Amino acid sequence: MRITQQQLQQFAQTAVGDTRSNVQEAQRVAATGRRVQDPSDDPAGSSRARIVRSLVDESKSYVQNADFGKLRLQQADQSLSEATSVMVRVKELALAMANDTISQDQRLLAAQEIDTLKSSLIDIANTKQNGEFIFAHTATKTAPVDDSGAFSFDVDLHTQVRRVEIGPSSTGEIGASVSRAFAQRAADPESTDLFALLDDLSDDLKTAGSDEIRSHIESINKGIDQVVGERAEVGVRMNRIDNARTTAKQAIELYRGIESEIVDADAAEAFSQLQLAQTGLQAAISVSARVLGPSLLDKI
Amino acid sequence: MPSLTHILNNGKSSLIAHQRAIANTANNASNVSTPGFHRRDSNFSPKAFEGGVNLEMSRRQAANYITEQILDQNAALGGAQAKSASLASVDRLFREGEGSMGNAIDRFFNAVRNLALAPADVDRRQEALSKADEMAQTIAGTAKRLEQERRAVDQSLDTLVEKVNSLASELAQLNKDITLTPGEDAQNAALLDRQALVLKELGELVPVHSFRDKQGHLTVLLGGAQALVQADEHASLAATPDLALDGLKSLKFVGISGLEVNVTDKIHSGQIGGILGLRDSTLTAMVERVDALAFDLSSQINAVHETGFGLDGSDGRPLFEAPPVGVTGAATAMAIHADMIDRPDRLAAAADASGAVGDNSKLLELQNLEDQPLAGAGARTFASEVADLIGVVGRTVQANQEQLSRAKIAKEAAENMEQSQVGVALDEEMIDLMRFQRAYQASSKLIKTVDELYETVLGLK
Repeated sequence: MRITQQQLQQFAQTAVGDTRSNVQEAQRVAATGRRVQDPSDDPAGSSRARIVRSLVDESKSYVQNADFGKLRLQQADQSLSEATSVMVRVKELALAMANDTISQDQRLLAAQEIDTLKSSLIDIANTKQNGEFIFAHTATKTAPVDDSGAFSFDVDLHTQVRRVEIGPSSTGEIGASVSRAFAQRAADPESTDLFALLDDLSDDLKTAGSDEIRSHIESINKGIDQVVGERAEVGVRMNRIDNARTTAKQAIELYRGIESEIVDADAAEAFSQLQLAQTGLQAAISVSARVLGPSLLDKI
Repeated sequence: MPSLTHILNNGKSSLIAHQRAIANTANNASNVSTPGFHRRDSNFSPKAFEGGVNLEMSRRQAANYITEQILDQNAALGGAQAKSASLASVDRLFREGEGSMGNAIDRFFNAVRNLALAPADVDRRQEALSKADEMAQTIAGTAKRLEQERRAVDQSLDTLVEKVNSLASELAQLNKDITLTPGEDAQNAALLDRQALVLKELGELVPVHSFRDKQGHLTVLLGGAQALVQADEHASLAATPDLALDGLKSLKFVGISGLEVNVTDKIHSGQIGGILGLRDSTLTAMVERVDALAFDLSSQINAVHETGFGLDGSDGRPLFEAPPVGVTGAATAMAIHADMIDRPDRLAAAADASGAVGDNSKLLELQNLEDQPLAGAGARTFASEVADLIGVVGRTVQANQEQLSRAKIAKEAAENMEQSQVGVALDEEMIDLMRFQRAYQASSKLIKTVDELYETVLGLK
């Protein structure tokens, strides 16, 4: 084949030009640490990375939901624990007063204490967090119990607790239900309206005798069980949220790892690629210089 | 028997021939870097009767199949090149990061999910509403940028069409000039060089084929069918705004006879073909995907949102403006509904009026949309639809890059073959120079010898 000057020059230009662009790409990868930047760097990889990033974002919001939910459940737990203490004190008083040796004055004092305990219990049922009543069903801006101890909604209809998503297609309840903890519901024959119970007890302390007072003890026990039962529910919910949070955290780590594997450059490989590209460029330059050099012109 | 004068004439013809040959070598050598220059060969032939030598110069020509190959590859390269700048910016448009389309969709659904924690909380409502707004704006922005790219490449059609027309007219003029000076003289060779160069340039813009007829005229066919240049006449292209193309330009071929043909969808390579392909299929396909995504997002979210209740206990409000029925244009039109702007209280979180304050079950329904296969004609979730779109964009850009380098290599190979046939090799010229110099010296020696012979003869007494 006849080799002409323009061919030689073209060859040199292509060789140097191509290797130079290789160096530039290797430089970009080594400097940014990212193998995939634009979709065209690796179409399938970019596509997968997008899905993985979505999963990371989603998991992050599960963690946020779990953190917030946990706070609310802790508050509920705390309040129900106080409610239990209140009921235990009520039981102590009832037991102490259901004795014929107790004077009417003492019973009146006890009745006063019961009234105070009742308003404490109302305060507990109306516990607020971030401006919301945590024992309300979904209407969290309305106090679930009024000053007299009457429920602001139909306790048979509203026993649900707010649910939020804490994992892929799994939801968790945040909060607790005043209906379940404090009210008498048709669905549960064992349940007792604690506020009504305290009212009755207070009335009997003021006017009735030991037998009437004693007759309340069983209801008080049921009431304690009821509060403790809802607290146990809260514990289960907290547990569930803790597990979901751990899962989401692990998912974030896992997906981040996958994303990094797709888009990030391996440092050792990036630098050896850069080295290789630079060597290629040097080779192209020195080969071109040699090929373009010799000519008959030098000899005549 | 030849006379001394005859021998002297021989020497003279050789002297003249070699001087001209050296001049030719000088011309070749000086044009070593001239683009499109074809080497002129020095062809010596003996003079038939009087003896001595004759020199004829001839311009080298490449085989027609090589020219055709170069034209093909030029068209392929031109097509790929015309797309590459625009595609590179589309590539960057779909680059991942803060504010990318996928990211915006994620953020919207996450804001909805977090709003479920406290559905009556005004800050959280504001957050969810602004994320909905951001999502709509990002999707609309993406579609608008794609549409802008379409308009921008459309703009460049005018210049290219003008260039095609001026090149075609130059080719026709050259056809005329070449037949005016028939034969292989220097003037004609220069015209032929120029014509070959112009033809290649034309080949980068539109797909052409060419052949030379018996009169030496170059005939150029556009896309192998319509005659663009014939003898000293040429046809032309015209780009005119077309209402059917939404104001973008359609391409007309105005034949030599004046007959007009619409060739908008017939030219597939060359820079013009590249631009038309980019404008009418590559980018359009992407816009359609984004439109479909916007349509699905708006209509699905609206469908749920309309059944929910805002803080005021009212329902029936769409979150986004209703997308156009025909899907087309859904992305550029995507925006949160006028009634929702700055009204976070109207976000429908509750499933019934009684739970307007505090119920979050509508939000759970909304965020469920994220995991449903509602995009891509029911094949993918919104997130995987965006991912799929990114894959499509990436593959399109990558295919263009590959086509570019493939066409470049093929073009170089074809040009290499052509150069090998018609280019100037300096070594060759130097060898010729030495050869012609020696012959020139020999002819001078011959004349000197004849001169001595004359002296000898004239000195006879």
